Amino acid sequence: MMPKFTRREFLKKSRMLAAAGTLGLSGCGARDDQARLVPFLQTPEEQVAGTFTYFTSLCQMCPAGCGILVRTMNGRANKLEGNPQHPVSQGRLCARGQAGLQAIYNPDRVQTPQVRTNERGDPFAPTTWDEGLAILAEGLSQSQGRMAIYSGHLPDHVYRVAARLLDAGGSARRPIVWNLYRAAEGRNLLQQAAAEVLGAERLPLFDIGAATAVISFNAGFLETWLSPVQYARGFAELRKGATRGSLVAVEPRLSSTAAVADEWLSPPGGREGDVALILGRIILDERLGASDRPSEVDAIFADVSVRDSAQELGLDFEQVVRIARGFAQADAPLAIPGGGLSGFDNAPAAMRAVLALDLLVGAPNRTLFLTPPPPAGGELDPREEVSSYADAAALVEEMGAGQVDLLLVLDGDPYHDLPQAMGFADAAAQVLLIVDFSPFPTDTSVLFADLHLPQHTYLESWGFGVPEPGTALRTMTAQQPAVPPVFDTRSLADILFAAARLAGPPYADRLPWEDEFTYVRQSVETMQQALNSQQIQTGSILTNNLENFFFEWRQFGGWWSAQEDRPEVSPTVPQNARPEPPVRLAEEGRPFRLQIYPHLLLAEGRHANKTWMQETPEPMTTVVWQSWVEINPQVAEELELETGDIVRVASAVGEVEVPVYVFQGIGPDAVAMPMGQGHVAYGRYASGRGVNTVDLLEMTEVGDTGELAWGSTWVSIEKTGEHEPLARIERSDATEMPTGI
Amino acid sequence: MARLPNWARLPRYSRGPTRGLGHDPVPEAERPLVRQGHGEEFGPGSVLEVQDAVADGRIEDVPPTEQELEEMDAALDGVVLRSMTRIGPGYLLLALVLGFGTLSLFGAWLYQIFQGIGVAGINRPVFWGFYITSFVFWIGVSHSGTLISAILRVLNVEWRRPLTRGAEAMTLFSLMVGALFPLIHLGRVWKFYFMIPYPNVRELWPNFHSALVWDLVAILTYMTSSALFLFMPMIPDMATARDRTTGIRRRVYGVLALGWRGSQQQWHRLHLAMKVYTIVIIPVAVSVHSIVSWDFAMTTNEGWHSTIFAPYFVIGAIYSGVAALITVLIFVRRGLGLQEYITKFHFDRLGLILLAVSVIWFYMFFAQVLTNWYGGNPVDRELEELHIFGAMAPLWWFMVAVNVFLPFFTLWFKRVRRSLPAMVVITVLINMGMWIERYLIVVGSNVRNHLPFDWGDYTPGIPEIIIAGATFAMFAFLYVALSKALPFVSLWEVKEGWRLDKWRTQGISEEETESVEEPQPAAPLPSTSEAGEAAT
Amino acid sequence: MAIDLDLCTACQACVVACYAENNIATVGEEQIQNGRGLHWIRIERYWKTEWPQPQALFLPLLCQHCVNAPCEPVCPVFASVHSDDGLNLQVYNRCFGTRYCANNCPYKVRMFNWFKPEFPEPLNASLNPDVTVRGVGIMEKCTFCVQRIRRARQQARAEGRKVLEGEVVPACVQTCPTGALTFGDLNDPNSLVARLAQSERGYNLLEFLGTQPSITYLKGVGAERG
Repeated sequence: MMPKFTRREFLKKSRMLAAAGTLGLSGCGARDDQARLVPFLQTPEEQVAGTFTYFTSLCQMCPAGCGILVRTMNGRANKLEGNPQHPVSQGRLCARGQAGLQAIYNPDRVQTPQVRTNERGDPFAPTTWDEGLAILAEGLSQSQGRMAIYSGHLPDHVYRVAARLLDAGGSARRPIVWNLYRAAEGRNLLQQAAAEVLGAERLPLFDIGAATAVISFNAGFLETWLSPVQYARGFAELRKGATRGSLVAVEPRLSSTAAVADEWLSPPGGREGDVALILGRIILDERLGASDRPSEVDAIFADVSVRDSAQELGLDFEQVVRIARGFAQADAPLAIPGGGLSGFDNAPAAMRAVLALDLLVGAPNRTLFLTPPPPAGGELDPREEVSSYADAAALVEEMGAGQVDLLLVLDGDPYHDLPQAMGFADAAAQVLLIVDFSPFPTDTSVLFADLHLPQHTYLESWGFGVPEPGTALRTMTAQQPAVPPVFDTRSLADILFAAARLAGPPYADRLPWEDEFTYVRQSVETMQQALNSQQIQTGSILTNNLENFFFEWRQFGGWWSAQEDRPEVSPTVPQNARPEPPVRLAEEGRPFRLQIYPHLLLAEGRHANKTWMQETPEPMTTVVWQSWVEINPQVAEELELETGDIVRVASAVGEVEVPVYVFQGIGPDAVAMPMGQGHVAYGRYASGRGVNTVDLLEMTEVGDTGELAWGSTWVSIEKTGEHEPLARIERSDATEMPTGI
Repeated sequence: MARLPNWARLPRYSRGPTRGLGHDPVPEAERPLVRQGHGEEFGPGSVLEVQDAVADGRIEDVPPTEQELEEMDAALDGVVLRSMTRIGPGYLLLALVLGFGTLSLFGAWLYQIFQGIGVAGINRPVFWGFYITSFVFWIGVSHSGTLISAILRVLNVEWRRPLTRGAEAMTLFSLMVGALFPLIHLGRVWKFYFMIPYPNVRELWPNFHSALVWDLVAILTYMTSSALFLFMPMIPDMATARDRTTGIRRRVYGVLALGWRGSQQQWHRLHLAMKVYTIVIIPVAVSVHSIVSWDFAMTTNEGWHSTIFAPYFVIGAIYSGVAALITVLIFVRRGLGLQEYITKFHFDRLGLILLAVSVIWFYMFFAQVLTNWYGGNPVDRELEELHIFGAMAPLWWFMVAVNVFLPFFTLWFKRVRRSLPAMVVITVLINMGMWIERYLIVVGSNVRNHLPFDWGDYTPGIPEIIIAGATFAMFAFLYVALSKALPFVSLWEVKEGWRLDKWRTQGISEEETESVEEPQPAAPLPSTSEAGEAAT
Repeated sequence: MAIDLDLCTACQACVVACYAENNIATVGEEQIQNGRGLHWIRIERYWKTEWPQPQALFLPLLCQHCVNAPCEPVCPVFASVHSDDGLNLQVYNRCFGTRYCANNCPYKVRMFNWFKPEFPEPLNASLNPDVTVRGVGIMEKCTFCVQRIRRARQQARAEGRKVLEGEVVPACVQTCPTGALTFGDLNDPNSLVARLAQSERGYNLLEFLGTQPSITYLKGVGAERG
């Protein structure tokens, strides 16, 4: 019997038939041109998704202060680029600057305020901003001046807020800004040397681009030192000049700066100053000194015995003479006293010796200037100051003595960054309340903090900055939020303002601003008024209207003068420019000097939580994701070590086990290790990875300057017998020159 | 003059008195006395010596009568069909173990698919590893079967008759195993069909410039033609099996027999088809391994880019294939109880072929190494140093030892060639050597390139080791499993051989003239309606 | 592209810029140990001489976009193709991972996705919307930032003109602090890159292979370099 075939059934079936027919026909009948319109080979890259929105801002990945452009789409930042108009970056950006995206979108960010409800070291419990701020305000009210602030890097505007906060609390302290990366820059020592030789306690302005012969005395200016993007541009100008300028590097470890130099002199660590003296003496002997040099400068080099010294330092005398001649005969010579000098107790004298060499060849006011002052003084000073090691050590000591009740860790990681021998862990136990403000779960926060109030990353907050060292253009860079906050965080200044309000007078009086934006806007206003009063009209922004000025300041990424301003130096011949050989400590059984250097990408470790930074190779060794110790090939042969063997590196105060990298560019008297790893927390990418090199350091100060002689630790190397393949980009040890390259 | 003893009344190619490896059950008293060695005593002779005696006229060769021939046919059918139908506990255990091994291959493969191809040890710059090594190896093994069988058929070598089926089956099985690897090694195996030229609306086609597409075509062609080459001469045997079995087997064989009735016309067509096919398949086989070699030779890589690669690979394939054939035949002979039909004589002859091929292979290998060494190309030179003196020297020297010296210093001797344990050891070692040779080509050349910064190394991942190892289990499993379904000795061809032998020695007697035109299958075909139905 | 080896300082800015622009996944320590990094551009460090007078040389290596690219003919599915403007491009959808192209690349700049890439939340928010995130089992490589070129071309087309010199640069070129990298249209004899390609310092990497790379390296100069 046939099934009942109703009208409804008929319609349904005919619809199905029609649909099938349409499908079938369209399948068969696609015209050729239609098919070609959407070929498989048309990849998404060929199609433009939308329009990018760019925001100017200020890079905070290192202290150099490059202006950046944040490329965003749909409220998400997807690329950082140099701001082409900004004097420091001029459209370029370094490797670390690029990785700012992984700061803001880091999967391990602290997403809400957190409070410790139990013992320190146990997991935090999430809390609300109201509660968190209340605890902080309470702490502020009760601290009675027994309050301290620690940081590794503070943006200028936050530094000012922090200084005011301490001031309001009646604390005599300045905010402590210190870590080994900042120490290795040698900022303070360089400023002091500049004060003595160049006549002002400001960072010198090294005009590498204007020079034709540069000698770098342990200045990794193409890697991490001071303002690498700016210096790299100078280096390019040096190379591309009408006559190709030469670069000579004087440093114990072959850094990538030394590798691109034309010649590398490798005196023992701490003896770079002697090389300056030898060069100076040769220049004097050959009567190649600048005619306009201060006459007293000759005396500095008078009793240097060049051959003996060269021999003592293990240098090829012929080579040194060649370098001296080339340097002195160059049109525009420049000797750079680098941060690497600051690791030894003879650092002040060594820096003076190098600057004396500059005086000798007439570098001042040709290639060597002072950084111009900030656009406006007054309320806008002070800029961020790097504390001395002694300040940091004093803080830890006071903490240990129970003299600090409230410790605010603004953007730093003292547990990781301070040498273990300093005893931060024990001292922290004596502090009643430790508040951490880092966007990330730092070691300090996880182990010691009682309260974690996560701040915005720099791409989410307002601010301004004066680059230090700046360029010849006086600059105040704009920082503005490029994307909305990713998590329930607040900008650091906002947190401090809010806490001050809650704490009431005197905090509320000293920090009267409603929020960061008001504060930044008022600062810009102050600057504009200062510019007006100083009659500086020729800047990048040509308006007197405050509204328009503030708008354009944000639009163009800051204000900078139109005219180059190279404050002239008034050279003074320094008194003591004869560095003694560095004092060698703890000699017994420790035959190798430990050369620590800032990791090109991880810095002192603050970028260890970013996969791009972990996976980008350190240029000389190409090692990624790991710690390692660089050992001279001859030494490696004697100790029967090869790349990947695990050794125990022991100093007087600590020991670590790390794999060996047999390195062509380190002398037999030293081993080199990068900073950066060895976090116990700091997110999934950093925790438990590698070793913290800083913990090996002995606490020796540089003379009476209060700085740490971080280059003067001696270590022993002991084979453990274990082996692990190093994670590195080079796939074999045999990377000698191939043909055709 | 003595009469040729009954035990020796088998066709010349299969006159083997032995049963079991090395064991000789024929009563010594029945054997003719021959000298045991130069200047030594007379003793009972072996089958070859019997043949010599016949040739000398010392023994009279009286061919078997029709009656005896039919007895021999029945015995052969009995042996082969019994081995196909009897399933003992030992067999089940073996099949289970091998089946588990085969499963582990697919298990490891699935794991790799879900985890990502990265679970293998391949890396940059060693993008190809165990998988491609195994691929080349198995395609190589597949060579001998069809090629040897075809060449021997073309040359009308009589002793081939009991061997061809086993050889052809080996080709098909190793191809089935080998053809898995191009799939296994893919990063996204679920997109493998991109390589197949199917019509599509986006007008996308595979790239016929790519040697991998040639590969696909060559392997599919070879697989199809090898399967046909195996199947075609099996049709009469299928009919025999159909007639001797019952139940489901009978039906299946009935279908596979394709209605074979043993008519003159069918025999005529089968012989004609085999003649054509045998000749055509030789170039196909040669081309397949040439194309596999061009996967490598068409690149810019040092160590791969070489004009000698095609013939070198082909001869290497035949080399490892003949060795594998000997290994396989020894086990098949034992396992299926075919000692009476596959004899030491066969291994003697195969051993000689192996020796000859090994010398040719060594010649090509030497030419390749020498030109690389003398060429002065730094990468080539570096590669040779790495292989001969460097980290890969143990592998390289092992390969040279077992592939060059071992056959050369052993296979000259008849005693070795006729010792089945020795032949098993030698051929297995040769194939280990050939596997390593492929490894040295695939991986050993990839670890060095023009940029020393990117020189690499290679450690196989666990899935790679499992899969590469499990393919041997899979190959054996196919053999073991299908031994219960297919006759591994070509029944009709052996029987045909007996009759040809008889007629050659005796001439054709009058009562036999009726069946002169084509030899009949020994088994009488009952023309029952049941069989007819099954056949249609 | 032209790469001035005299200016390259191995600062790795290009490497990270490339990571950011092209959504390149990081693979972690263990995979790097296995040689499975995905750096589209890497800076190879060679030793011209060794201790005690070590001379290191840096060679930024990225896809050379060969005119006669060895990777292209060997791909069985046309996943490695040449664009009409001379780029050597990888069609990710089409690739099924034979890795033949990478084997045949003499510069070893083709990177393979051995595993599914990981972008844990909210790291995925930093992905460039113009660029595909590649899945497991396919090959990827430098595209000269084709997405930027397409953007510029679309813009230029809308304005009825050709793409101007300097209007579009890949991320590596854009960020290079020393300007060691120069990008432009080699077919335009007036472009900077075309003039650099004619430089007496210019050479192609592994020139003898006949791949005709689009990248000209400018040899380092000076007594100790080169």
